[in-house]
Formats: sequence, structure tokens, C-alpha cells
Amino acid sequence: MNRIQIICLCLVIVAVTPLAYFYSQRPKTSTASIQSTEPSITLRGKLRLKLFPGPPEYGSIEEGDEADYVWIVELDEPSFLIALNAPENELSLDLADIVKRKDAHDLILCLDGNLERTCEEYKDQDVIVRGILFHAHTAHHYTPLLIDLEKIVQQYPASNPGN
Amino acid sequence: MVFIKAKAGPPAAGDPESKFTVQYFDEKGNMTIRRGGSRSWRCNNPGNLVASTYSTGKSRRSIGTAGDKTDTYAVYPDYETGLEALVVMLKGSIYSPLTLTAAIKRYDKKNPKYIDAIVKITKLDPERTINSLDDLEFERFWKAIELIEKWSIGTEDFIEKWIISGVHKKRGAITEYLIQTNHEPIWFSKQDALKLAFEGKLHATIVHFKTGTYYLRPEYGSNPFECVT
Repeated sequence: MNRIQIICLCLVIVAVTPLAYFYSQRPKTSTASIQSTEPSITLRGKLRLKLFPGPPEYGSIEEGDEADYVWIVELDEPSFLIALNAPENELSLDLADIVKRKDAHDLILCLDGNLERTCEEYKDQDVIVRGILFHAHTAHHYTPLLIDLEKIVQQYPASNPGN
Repeated sequence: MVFIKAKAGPPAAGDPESKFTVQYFDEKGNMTIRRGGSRSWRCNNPGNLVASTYSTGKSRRSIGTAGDKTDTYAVYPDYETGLEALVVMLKGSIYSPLTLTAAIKRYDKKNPKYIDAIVKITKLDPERTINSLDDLEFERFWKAIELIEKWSIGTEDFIEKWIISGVHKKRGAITEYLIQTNHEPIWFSKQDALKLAFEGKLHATIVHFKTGTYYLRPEYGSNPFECVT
């Protein structure tokens, strides 16, 4: 095995390990899977904490709307395509309307306290998220794509040849 | 009054851009403008449902959409139809199998305060599924959502769309229009009548020549303007 092959093998291992870990750590009976037949989906991107104007008018914090900090994942292109091709349901948006929006790649994470702490740990890092994808349907949904989060793990950076 | 069409209007003077008004039109073309109050009231949409294939679908009987540059909401002809959209959604295949906690997480995206408020108002066990609630419990649940989403009434302005009942002509060209206003028929100059038509207050079609001048003609299917001598 020459050096190039060894480097390639290392790269594959580095890329696959987080996914393998991710799947191994999946809860066998998540709350969502008990209650719903909706399929889970795995997506990647950069985790950000964004500020949105919240109720009552969802327009401007300066004008008196609530400041609403929301965890989002800026989806990479392959994940965005996966999200767009996810099965639709009765509450889905028109895909053309999603693509038109500036914030189309932003995926809001619907989460509880425990996962929020994990998000703080991975802030501004590349992450892999798993959960039930759905489309915006209420005023509280600021981006067209959202995920009912089941799990979030850090996506280890693809090592560069120098490492 | 039955509204058949609705669209967003500009914010009222002094209001922020996000506080859009909603213009409702009845079958006679009269316009009712809702300003102030909550978004849910302005859009007759107690669940604050954004425009989607569900909320604006034929079976939900929405009459239009309204919003600002970021979000667009479904507009319903009345409170009952808007409420039905919320209730049908909660009873549908997506929400009904969820526990109240999971449903509110889906509805609100996170806010633990929301489910706490729901439990406080309804006294329901948050781990029960929506489809396990009986009719009265389910009513408590949607009423609590409605309460948290807020329904506050603002101001309604009614603008009647007037009819042109006659015209004055000079050398074959219309110079004045007789308009049936709320109280009495009044003669308006062509310029003033055009201004009313541009504001959507007249039953007339605006036509413009390539030269840049405008004139009014009867709406499609209505009788020609009668020349009054």
C-alpha cells in the first residue's frame, strides 16, 4: 500500500466514523418514532444561533417584537437537496416557494432543554442532525424547513493532507 | 357581509412595515380594511397559519394571503373558517398522534413556556396524545392555543365601491362622471373620477392610451355609461 492509498484510507475513516457513531447512538425508541410514522432524516451543515423577531408581529425587534433566539443549521448543498426531496405531507409547502426564499438553506432545530445544551457546545461548528423534517406552517416557523430534532453530533472536519 | 377576496395592504400610518393591513372585498367590490389588533385577527386566522398548500387549499376555503416581505399568512373570510383550519390541522394525520408536548414543540418549534402555558390553562396531561382527547378536552386544547396566539381586535374601515350612473360629454368625450356615493349622486370631474378608480373605489375599468392618458369604461358585463343631457 503506497502513501497515497494510506492517506485516502485515513480520509474515508475520518469521514465515516462520525456517521457510524451517530447511527450507533440512535435511540432505539425515540419519542417521535413512537408517536409518529414520519420518517427521520439525517442532514449536515453549520450550526448557528440566530436572532429573529418573534411575537406579536414577527417583524422587528426594534419596533417591539420579542427577541427570539433560534438554533439553525445552514444546510450544505447535498443536504439541502435531500431535504427538498424528503417525502411531503399535508402541511408541506410548495417546493418552488422554498427555493425562492433567501433563507431556504436554513433549517430550524425544534428542540428541548437537553439538546439545547448540546447545541451550545457545537455552536458555529459543522454538525450532523437527525430528526423529522417538516415545512413551516405557523407564524413561529421562521424558515421554510424545520426539523424535530432527535439527535445532533459534531461533524469532524475532513482532515487535510497535512494532518 | 361575505368576503370573497383578500390581500395585504400597506401598513397604517405610523405602524411598522411588518404590521401590514388586510383588505377584504365583498361580492359588490366594497372593501373593508383591517388595521391594528393582532395578525390573527387581521387575517381571520386564529392559529396564525402561514400560507401553504394546506392552509390555502380549496378545502380550507381561504380567500387570499397577506403578509410582509418575510412571511405570508392565509386569510379566511371569517373567524369560524380560520378556526376550522387550525382544528382540522390539529386533528390531521401529522398532529393527532403526537403528545401535547410534541405537538406544541412542532407548532411553536421550541418554547417550553408554550406547553407550560397550555398545561396551566387546560389542566391536561402533556403526555397524552391529541387523538386521546375527548371533544371537550380537545376544545380546551385548541382554545388554549388560540389564547396564546392572541386574538386582539383592531380597527375596521369600510370603503364602499361606488357606481357610475351617468356621464357628461363634450364633443363626444366624457368630461364628468355622475357617481352614486354613500349618500347622494355627485358629479365628479374626469380627473377626480380617475383618482377614485385608481384607489379602487369605483366600479369601472381603467384604460390607458399609449399616449399616457387614461379613461374609464364600464366593468366587463355591465351596461355602458349613460350620457346625461
